[in-house]
Amino acid sequence: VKSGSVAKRYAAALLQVAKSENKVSDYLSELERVVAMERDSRELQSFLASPVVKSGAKKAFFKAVAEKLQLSPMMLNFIYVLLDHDHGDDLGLVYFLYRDMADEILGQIRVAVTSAAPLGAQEEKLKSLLAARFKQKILIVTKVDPEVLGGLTIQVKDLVFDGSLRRELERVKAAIVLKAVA
Amino acid sequence: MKTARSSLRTLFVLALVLAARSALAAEGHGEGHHEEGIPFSMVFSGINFAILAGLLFYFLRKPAKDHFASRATLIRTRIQQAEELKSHAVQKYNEFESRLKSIDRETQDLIANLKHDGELEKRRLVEMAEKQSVQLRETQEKIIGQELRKAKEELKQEAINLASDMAEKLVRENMTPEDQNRVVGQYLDRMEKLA
Repeated sequence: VKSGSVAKRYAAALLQVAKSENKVSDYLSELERVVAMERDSRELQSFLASPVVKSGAKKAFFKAVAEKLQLSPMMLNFIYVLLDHDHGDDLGLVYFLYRDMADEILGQIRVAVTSAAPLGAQEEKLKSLLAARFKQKILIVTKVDPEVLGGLTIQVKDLVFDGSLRRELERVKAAIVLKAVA
Repeated sequence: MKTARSSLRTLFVLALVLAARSALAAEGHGEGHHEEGIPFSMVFSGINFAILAGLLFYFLRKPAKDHFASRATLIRTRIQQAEELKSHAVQKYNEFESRLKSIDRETQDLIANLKHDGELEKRRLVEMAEKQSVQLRETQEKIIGQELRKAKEELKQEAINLASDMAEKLVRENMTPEDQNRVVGQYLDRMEKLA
C-alpha cells in the first residue's frame, strides 16, 4: 500500500509535468520502452531492486541506455529521482498508474485481445467496433495463446467479451453435465 | 453330714454291743435249758436288722428323699426340655415341610414365570432383530443406491470429460487459419449486430 501510494504520487507528478509540456503521450511511450526493457530482463529487475547496488550505478546504467531507448532528459531525470529515493523497483507500478491516467487524458482505452492466431486485418474491424461502442480511441494489445483454441477474448478494463472456442467447449460441456444430472 | 455319719457310727457300735450282750445272755441261759421254738440268735439277728433298718431309714430318709426329689426335678426338667425341644423340632419340621411344599409351588410358579418371561423376551428379541434387519436392509439399499448414483454420475462426468478432451483435440488438430478467421469474423459480426 505504501509502495502503491508512493508510486501514485510519482505518476501524478510526472503526468503534471507531461501535461504542462504537452507530452503526455511521448512520456507514456518512453516509460513503455523502459518497462518493456525491464520486463524482458530478469537480471535488470534484480539489479534495479537490489539495495546493495548504489543508486549511482543504477543511474549510470540508465544514462548508458537512454540514447538507445530514446529517453528525453526529462524522463531520465525522473528516473534519477526515483533511484535517488530508492524507488527504482517501483518503476513498473509508476508506469501502470501513469498509463491509466494518461489514457484518460488522451481519451483512449486499452483493450487486451487474446486469440489463437494473429488477428490480421480483423484487428482494424475490432478496433472500429470497440471505438463505436465506447466512443473512445482504442488501443489494442494483442496476445496469441493456443489455449484459446479458436476465436478470441476481448478485455476492456473489467469487462470481458469471450468469443473463444474454449469458452464454447466449456459451455457445451456444462450443458451436457446439467442434462446428465437432470 | 459329718454329724449324721458320727451318729450313725455311734448307733452302729451301740447296736453291736447290745447284740453281743444279748447273744452272751442267750448262750448262758441256753446251757441249762434246751428248749424247743425259734432260736434266740435268729431273734437277735432280726431285732438287730430291724434296728439297723430303722436307723438307716431314720437317718437316710431325708437325704434320700431330697436326693430323689432333686433327681426327679432334674429328670422332669430334662424331660420338659426334651419335650420342648421335640415340640420345637416338630414345629420346625412342620414349618420346613410347609415351606418345602410352598417352595415346590413357588419353584413351579417361578419356572412358569420364567418360561413366560423367556417367551416374551424371545419374542421381543426376535421382533427387535427383525426390525433391525429391515432397517439394516433399508440402510444398505440406500447406501447401495447412493453409491450407484455416485458411480453413474462419476461415469457420466468421466464420459463428458473424455468427450470434451476429444472435442478439444479434434479442434486443435483440425483448426485452420481459415477456420480461425471465420470464427473471429462470426464473433465480430455478432458484436456488430449487438452494437
